[in-house]
Amino acid sequence: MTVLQAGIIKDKNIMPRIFHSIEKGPLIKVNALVIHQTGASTAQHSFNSYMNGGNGAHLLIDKQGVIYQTAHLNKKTYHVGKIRSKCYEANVCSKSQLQAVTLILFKSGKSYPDRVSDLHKHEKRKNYPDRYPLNQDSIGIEIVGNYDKSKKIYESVSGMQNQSLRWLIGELFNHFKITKADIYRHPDVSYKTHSEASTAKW
Amino acid sequence: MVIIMKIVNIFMLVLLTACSSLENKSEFIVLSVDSAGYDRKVGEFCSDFNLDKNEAQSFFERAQIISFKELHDNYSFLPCFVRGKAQFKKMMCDWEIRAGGTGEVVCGEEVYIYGCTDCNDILR
Repeated sequence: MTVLQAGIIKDKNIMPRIFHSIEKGPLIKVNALVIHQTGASTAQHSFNSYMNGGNGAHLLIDKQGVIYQTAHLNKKTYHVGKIRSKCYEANVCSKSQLQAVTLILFKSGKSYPDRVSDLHKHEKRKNYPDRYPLNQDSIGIEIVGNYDKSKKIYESVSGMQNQSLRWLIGELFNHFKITKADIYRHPDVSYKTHSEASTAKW
Repeated sequence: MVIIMKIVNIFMLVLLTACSSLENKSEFIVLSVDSAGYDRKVGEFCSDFNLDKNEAQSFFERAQIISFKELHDNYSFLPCFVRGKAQFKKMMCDWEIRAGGTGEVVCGEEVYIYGCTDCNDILR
């Protein structure tokens, strides 16, 4: 079993490769995991990007299934983006919630990007699990996988990568009070390309 | 002399490549708006998204060619799109603009991804 100490998860199966440039403040509580794909063909692409700061995730699984820890698990990173409305997507909004969300999403005359921003601000006010996870309460796991611009699809997550993902998630369950219901694929949470992490299995 | 010729050839190749790049916006002309649609479920909030030819042209004049990573990190990829045809130099291209300010142009084998942070006035 892995040991979590000061935000570093210690195990022979996890290579520490911390990029302070993507750590954006404290991560006080972990409510969920968000699974991503990198959109590039190698781990090094992500590492190069992380060196410049900006967006990033806490863990990365390369093509061979090697797991890297790229940010402390007690530090926030920018990996989620603007969130969708959870109750709206699941069709479980109360009457007043549905009214509020549709007022935002269908606001005639307002640009679609602005509607997405307004929806995000609206959802942020809710507590988890009534909303999707945010950067401030989730751990991001990147799986290295390229995006084929011609076919408009991410490459499939390999068996080795899925094996590592399953193991990693099992370990994170031990350290944080989360369950399978708290694991999300990135496009389910935010407006992203539909096939991202679609073949990730846990 | 041979070395000089080789250097000149390389220079010309680089120059020609630069000139043929879609970053030369003045030569990209939207010819038609052919369709509007959406990827997923019916009733998408953006399903009424549409553009005319001038708006599509304006988008591509204002948008920047970006990497897929930049699209992923910085833009909302919305399920609603408008598609049409364009001409770049003598090439016929297919274009697509999505309601979240992202776009795509396919000219032959080449695929270019666009993002516009200054297009909210036409994305409504």
